[in-house]
Amino acid sequence: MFYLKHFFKILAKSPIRSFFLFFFSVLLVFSLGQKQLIESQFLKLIPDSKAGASFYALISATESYESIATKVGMLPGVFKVEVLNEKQIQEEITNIFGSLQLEMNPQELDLNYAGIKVIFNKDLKPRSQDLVRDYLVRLGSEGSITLGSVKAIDSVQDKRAEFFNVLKQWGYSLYLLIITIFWFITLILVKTKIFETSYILQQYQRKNRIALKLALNGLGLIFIFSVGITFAAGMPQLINILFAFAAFVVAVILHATDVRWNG
Amino acid sequence: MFANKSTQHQRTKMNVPHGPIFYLEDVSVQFGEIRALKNVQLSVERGEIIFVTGASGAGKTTLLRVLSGDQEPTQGRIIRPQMSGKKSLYISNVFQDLRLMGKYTCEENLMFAYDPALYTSKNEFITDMQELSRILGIRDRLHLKVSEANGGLKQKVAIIRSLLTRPDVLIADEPTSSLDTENARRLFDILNLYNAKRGLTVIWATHNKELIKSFTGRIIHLDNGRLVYSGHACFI
Repeated sequence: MFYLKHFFKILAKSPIRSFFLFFFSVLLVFSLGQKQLIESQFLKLIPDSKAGASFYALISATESYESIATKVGMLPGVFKVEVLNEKQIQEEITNIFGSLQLEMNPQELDLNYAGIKVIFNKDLKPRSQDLVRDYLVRLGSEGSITLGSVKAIDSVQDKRAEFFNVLKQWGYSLYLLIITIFWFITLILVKTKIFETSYILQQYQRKNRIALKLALNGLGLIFIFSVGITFAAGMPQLINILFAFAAFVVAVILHATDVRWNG
Repeated sequence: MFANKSTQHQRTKMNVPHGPIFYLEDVSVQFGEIRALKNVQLSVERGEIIFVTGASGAGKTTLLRVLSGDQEPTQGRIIRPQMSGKKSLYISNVFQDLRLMGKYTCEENLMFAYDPALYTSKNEFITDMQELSRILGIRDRLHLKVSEANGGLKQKVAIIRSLLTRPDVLIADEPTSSLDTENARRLFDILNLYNAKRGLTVIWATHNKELIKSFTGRIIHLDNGRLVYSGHACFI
């Protein structure tokens, strides 16, 4: 109780450092123990990067464009089908007119079209792309569907996709590394306060190795609390909890050195 | 203050074994090219009151650090005979920089000295603490944070904290620099009392000549790291 009492007194006297030590300790243990949960959250946050080449299609208003979009979307090799809004359609028509070198304002035309953007899976072969385009044309009546040319994924998008892929692969590890660094920094900040108190207690009470005992009691309690929260969120990966335990053991051992006054 | 002591630490001059508690044999301390202490030969008896004097940089702090065990001699040796077969001497330091916890109140700083092994109850400790605070006139200021306290208050807190540890030896490095003569005298009265009742050995670095003249004790004068005088104040 003596050591716990003094540990919490130290925390109370340095509330900001203590809050962050507590926060990052819980986060570290939780993130290690609930690895799958955290990873799944990561996958949700990071945009999908399986998108490849794409093309636009204008569909006459007489056709049920939503049904066509759904059918195309279900084809293998199609990553996504986006239904375009009016502004996007106008832009696409302007592009088409531009490529045909026609000097016409699309807004002056009474175009009654719906538009979709079909995005292929990354690295889908041209032959397969053609099959998808043929299928799309056959879904409508003759002349009711106009297809734009296939646009390859641009290099910026490609790099972005690559980045997201790396992030998906290493995101959890990176997140864990950042959490560990922040936890370690807060630990060092609190350690200076633990050493200060330990020095005084050692000087004025007949006790030894106070810093180690304070850390053992205080960090031990924080670890137990963190494990409790991790268990509350579901059965954790026990091997990872062991890693967290090892981190806390190292943290405690850091307090085994001789204390000196730096005040 | 002395009425309710635990028997373990109830020591008077009567039952305190005599003989040196420190013996410095040809001790030198060197910091790089600077020789802070030069071949110091010194013996300190239990229950002595010693004033360490000398100009700034004469080696007073280094000598005190050697005595308290914070500094190992680079040459020579220091012998610290045991009080008894079981227990070593307990030395309490009052540092020049006082080493108080700034965010804590004066009272909280004093509470750091509460060692249940030394007191029969916490009440006994608090009684001692309040009594010492009353004598030094700081009882009504114990609630102040150290960071808000003036130099005199801090020095008194540092000294009381040391005394509350019921030490065998009190080593103090210029602890009265912020106190006026009256307060310094009152403080030294307490030390004399502890010396008489408990055989407290006091080793006190000071510039205060008035204080030295007023109290019985040995003077050790250092000059440029050398011990140049060891004797009674009246011979200076």
